[in-house]
Amino acid sequence: MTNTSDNSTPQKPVKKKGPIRTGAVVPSVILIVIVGVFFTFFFDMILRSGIEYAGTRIHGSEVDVGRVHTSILGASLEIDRIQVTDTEHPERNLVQIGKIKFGMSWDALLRAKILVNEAEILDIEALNQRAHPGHVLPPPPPTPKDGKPGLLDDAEKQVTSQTQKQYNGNFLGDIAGVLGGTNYKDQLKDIQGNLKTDAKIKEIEKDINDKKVKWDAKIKALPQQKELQQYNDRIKALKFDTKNPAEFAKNLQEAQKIIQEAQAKVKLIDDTQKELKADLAAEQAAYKDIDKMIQEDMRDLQKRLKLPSIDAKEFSQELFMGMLEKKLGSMAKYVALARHYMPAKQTKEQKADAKAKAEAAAVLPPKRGTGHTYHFPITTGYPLFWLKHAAISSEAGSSEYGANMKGEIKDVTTDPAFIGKPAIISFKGDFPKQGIEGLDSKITLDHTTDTPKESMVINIARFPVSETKLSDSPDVKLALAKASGASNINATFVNEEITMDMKNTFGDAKFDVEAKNKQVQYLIDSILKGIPTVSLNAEVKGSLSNFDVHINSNLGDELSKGFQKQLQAKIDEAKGQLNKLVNERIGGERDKLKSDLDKMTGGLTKDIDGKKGDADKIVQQAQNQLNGQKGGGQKKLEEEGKKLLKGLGL
Amino acid sequence: MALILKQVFAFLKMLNSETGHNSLAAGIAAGFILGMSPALSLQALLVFLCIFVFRVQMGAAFVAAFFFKFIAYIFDPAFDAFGRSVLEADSLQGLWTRMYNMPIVPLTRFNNSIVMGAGVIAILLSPVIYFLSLYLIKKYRETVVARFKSTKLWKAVQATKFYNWYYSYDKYFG
Repeated sequence: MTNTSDNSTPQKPVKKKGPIRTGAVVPSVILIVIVGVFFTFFFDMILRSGIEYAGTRIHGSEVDVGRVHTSILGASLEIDRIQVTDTEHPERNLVQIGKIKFGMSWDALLRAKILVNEAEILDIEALNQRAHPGHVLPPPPPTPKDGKPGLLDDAEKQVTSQTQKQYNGNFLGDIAGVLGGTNYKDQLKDIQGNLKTDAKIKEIEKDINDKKVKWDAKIKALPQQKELQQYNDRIKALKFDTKNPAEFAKNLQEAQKIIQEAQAKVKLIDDTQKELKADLAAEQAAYKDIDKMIQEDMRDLQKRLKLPSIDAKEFSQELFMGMLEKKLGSMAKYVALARHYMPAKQTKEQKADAKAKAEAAAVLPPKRGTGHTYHFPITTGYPLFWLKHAAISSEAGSSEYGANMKGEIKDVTTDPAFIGKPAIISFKGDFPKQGIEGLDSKITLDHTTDTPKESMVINIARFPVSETKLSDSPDVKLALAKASGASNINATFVNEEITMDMKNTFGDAKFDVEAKNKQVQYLIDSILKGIPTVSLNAEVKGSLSNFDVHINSNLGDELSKGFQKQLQAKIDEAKGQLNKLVNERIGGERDKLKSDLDKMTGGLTKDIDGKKGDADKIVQQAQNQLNGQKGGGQKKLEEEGKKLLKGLGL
Repeated sequence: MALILKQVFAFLKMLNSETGHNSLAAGIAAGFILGMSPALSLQALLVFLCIFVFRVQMGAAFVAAFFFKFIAYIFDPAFDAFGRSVLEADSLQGLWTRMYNMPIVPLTRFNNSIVMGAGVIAILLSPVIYFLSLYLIKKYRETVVARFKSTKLWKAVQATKFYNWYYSYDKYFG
């Protein structure tokens, strides 16, 4: 066996290798080039798509970004040509921003935070035509029962669920129906099904019967007259012999004990009487609720018969609630978004809750390898994101849709409590060529304390109003085709409470009216001719889940007045018929219920009052008897005492 | 995966050769630091970079990291206790607060008790591991490898055509 490989070929001198792995240079260079290529050619593109996707999801219609340019070394970001589609008119943009420049701080970036000391928002345009219509997101599908709605959907739905209770989209159609001579007599015949009052009466009847049985049994179980009389007899049986003071005192004590026993029984009767009277009062109150329920049934039937109200306030509400709903819905949506990404300081309860959760988690042994993470005081830290100042500046110039605008955005951050300053967005300006003048807006988002507050003041001296639907039913379509609007909106959100005051005027108003019924068309046309300027004042107050809306408009007033002459008699007649129907259906039952209730109340009250009277009488007799014995005995004892003293010569 | 396996085979080959004891020992020491570190952190990336840039035997580092990961898992409670005592030391609070507020440094996750405990112990013990590995490699080569090479079995294997073919292949393409 020979090792053929060891000595056959001459060994090349081995070159001594240094400590640096020279072979790693090429892979390192390749890696650096790949990273460089990614950030040069792809990162901006991916970021642009991300902004477009997030913007579209938040706004609800297409948001496009022309160009995004990031500079790693310069720590800067430029976003060009941001187009936000107008959801109502997807062929145009609501707003277009020519350029946004962000200069970031390296010190913050090295801490994985974003601090924008100064930003610029330039070249703002509004209502400009898009190259292609923007995509409008479909309304979100209904949330499954076990599912959790999204943040934005939830905020919007909270508002719409309130507003939709308060208006009916087919309002003018219903009016046209009445004017067209709908035969309510026939419709009333067809109304089937139970009224709410029916069910309530049956419920009270059942309750009365149950209670009658219960109270009869209870009254029966109370001490009877014989039992009470025994106390009297026991006192009578006691001998109050003054010659034997010890026995006299003993019997006196015994008598007092018997009276106490009798009083306990009387108290039992007394308590039962009170309980019974409270129960009877509750039944009477339930009976009184029937009247309210009849009113509710009347309203339901009016709805089923599509019988409109011609109250001026309701007219305004029906016409403009849709418009207000959109404004409130989007406001609630943006407030929810701001509160999500710029959370307010935690309340004491939230802090206590978080602490309790942390403590509960600490009780469990930590996962292996997890350890404990310490937090030291932050002395020179930044919030995750902080836009200190952004200047808004735009000159209309030659651009057809350009704005003359100046404004600023201050202190937008993910941790307002940390920086201790509210975010403020303010701008003033005009869009001369679109006819928007005197736009002055200030939005304050104060999330620095544990009570989040948002306020918004927007004034627009003049803006063009295009096609705005006020009623869209198959029978009648009414729209504000063209007008010159002016608006003043003052809204405040504090926690869950909302207060909004909106004042609008729409001058030089032109309407589109289309009614199937000629009489209705003529009537609306003639009413609208006398209204060159439409006023719309709205007030919203309450919590987001339960707010009151008051809408007042001269258009509502005038339409109400105009229709009143034509409609009042017909509506009154239909209401009268409804009233009759309800009375026929439930009148007899109600009267029977009243009689049953009175009978039960009378019977039970008589029983218990009789028992109470008897018991009081017997106890009083026993007391009198005792007092008589006590009084007589005392006198005798005194006389005997005097005799004794005389005998002693005193 | 193929790259890691290749490095592991290279480690076994080098361990049984007569050269590269320094790079093997450095690899084991680097793997020790990697294995002790409980999660991906900035210092772990730095060690990776060192392994890549300096002539450290990668296979040794990977094998050692794999091995020490299990050891570290057992010693986690001890690292946790040590880390807590270091992070809670009154005299060091100023330093930790300063480091916590410095850029980049928080990415090391030094404020975690296990990262701190394991990190300090790994850095302190890495020279010991280096010299210990160096000594053990030399001893292994002198005793185990030399003795194996002098066995009849190994000499018989060396005499086969397959061995000669493999030797030539490895020399030119390995």
